[in-house]
Amino acid sequence: MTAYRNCEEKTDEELVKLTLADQEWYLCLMRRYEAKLTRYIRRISGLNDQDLEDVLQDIFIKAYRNLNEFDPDLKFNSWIYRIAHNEVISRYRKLMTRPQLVDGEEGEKMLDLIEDKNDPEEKLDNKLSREKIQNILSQMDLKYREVLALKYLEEKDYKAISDIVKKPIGTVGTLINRAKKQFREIVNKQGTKF
Amino acid sequence: MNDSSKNTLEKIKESKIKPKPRWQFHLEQFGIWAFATLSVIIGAKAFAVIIFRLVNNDWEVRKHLGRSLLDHTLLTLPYLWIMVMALFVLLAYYNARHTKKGYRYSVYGIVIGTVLASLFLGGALYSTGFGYEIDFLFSENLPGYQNVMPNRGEFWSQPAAGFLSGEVISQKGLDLLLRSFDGEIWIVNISDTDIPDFVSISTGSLIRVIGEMHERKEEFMAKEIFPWSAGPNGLFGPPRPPHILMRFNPCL
Repeated sequence: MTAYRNCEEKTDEELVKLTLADQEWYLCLMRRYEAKLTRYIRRISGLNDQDLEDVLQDIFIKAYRNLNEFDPDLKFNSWIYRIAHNEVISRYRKLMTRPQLVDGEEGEKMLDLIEDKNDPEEKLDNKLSREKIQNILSQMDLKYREVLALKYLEEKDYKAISDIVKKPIGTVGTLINRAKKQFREIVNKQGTKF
Repeated sequence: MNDSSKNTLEKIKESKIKPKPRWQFHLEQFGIWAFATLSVIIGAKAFAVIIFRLVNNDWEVRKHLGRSLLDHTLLTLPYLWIMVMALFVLLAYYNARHTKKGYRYSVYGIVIGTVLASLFLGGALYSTGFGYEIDFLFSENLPGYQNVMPNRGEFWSQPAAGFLSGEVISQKGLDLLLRSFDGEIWIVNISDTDIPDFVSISTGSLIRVIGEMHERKEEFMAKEIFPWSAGPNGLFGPPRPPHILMRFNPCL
C-alpha cells in the first residue's frame, strides 16, 4: 500500500489518471473528498450517520465505475459533487426530512450572505439561532435548499454550481434569487425577528 | 477508527469493480448526437413538406369557394406535418439537452437552435424538391394519409362544381385534350381564358382548370388555368399525376 504516498502533491486530474492505472490511488481521491462530501450530503439530505456512510460509499463506487467518463474540461471537484447530487436526489428524496444544516457559526455565515446588503429595509440585523435556520431551510424546496448550500456553504461559484446541478448558469442565478426570496418569505411568514 | 475510504476501496476490490471502458461513454454520446441530428433532419423534412403544402394550397380557389383568407388557411394547414415537425424539434431539443455539455445552454437557446436548424435545412430540402417528393410518397403509399391531409386530387376532380385537373394529352387550336386524374378524357376549351406566362401547356403537363362543365358531356369551358403544382417539383423530373385516384377507378 505504497501507491498513494505524496497524494497531496498531486492534482485531482493526475490522481484520476493514476487511479485508472492503479486502483490504490483512488484512496487518495476518496480521502480528499470524504469530509467535504459528507458535509454536503448532510446539509442537503439530513441523513443520519449510518445512511450517510452508505450513500458516500455508493457515490465513491459510482464515481470509480464512471471514472473514464470524467472530462478534464470539467473540474473533478464539480464532477464528483454532481455524482453526489444525483445520488442524493435519486435515492434519498423520500427520506429527506430536516437537513442537519450547519453549526451555529455556519448558520450565521449563511444568513449574512443571504442578506441583501443593498436593501437596508430588508437588512437582517439580528442573527438567527441555529434551530431557526434549520427550521426555515427544512421548509424550503429541495432545489432551493441545495443551491443555497452550494453557494453559501460550499462556496461554489455559479459555473461550478451549473456543472453540479446540470443547469445553465442563468438558471442557477434565478434559482439562487428565488431561494433567497423563499427564505425571506418563510422568515416573514413566521414573524421571526432579525 | 472507522476508515470509510479504505472500506470503500476494499469493497471495490472484493466486488472486482472496474471502471467502465471509455468507448462506452463515447458510444453513448455518439448515440445522443446521432438521435439529435436525425431528429433535426426529420423535422427539416417535415418543414419542407409544410412549405410545399403551403405553396400548393390552392389559394386561387379561395374566392370561388367564398372563404376568407383565415378560413382557407385554417382549413388547409398541413396540421399533420406541423405536429411531426413539433415532435421532432422536441426530440432534437431533448437529445441536445442530454449531450455532455448540453446543460450549459439555455432552454430557449437550444429550442431556437433546433428550430432554426430545422427551418434552414427544411428550406434547403424544399428548394431541391424534397417537399414534393415526400408528400407524393406519403400520398401514394400511406393508407389514410389522404384522410388527414387536404386531398387536392379529389377536390380538383369535381367538374360539375367547376374544378377539373389532369394531364394534357394534346392541344388542337383552342381545345386541350385532358386526361383527368380519375382517368376520364375531357375537351377543355381555352378560348375564354387568359393563360399566365408561367403556365406551361404542353403535352404531359399537369394543370388545374377552373371553369364550367359544358352541356355536352366531357367538355369544359376553362376560365382560369394553373399548373398542378408550384415551386420546386420533384427530384426525379416533372410532377407526376396522383396515381391513387387512378388506382381506384375500375375503368383504368
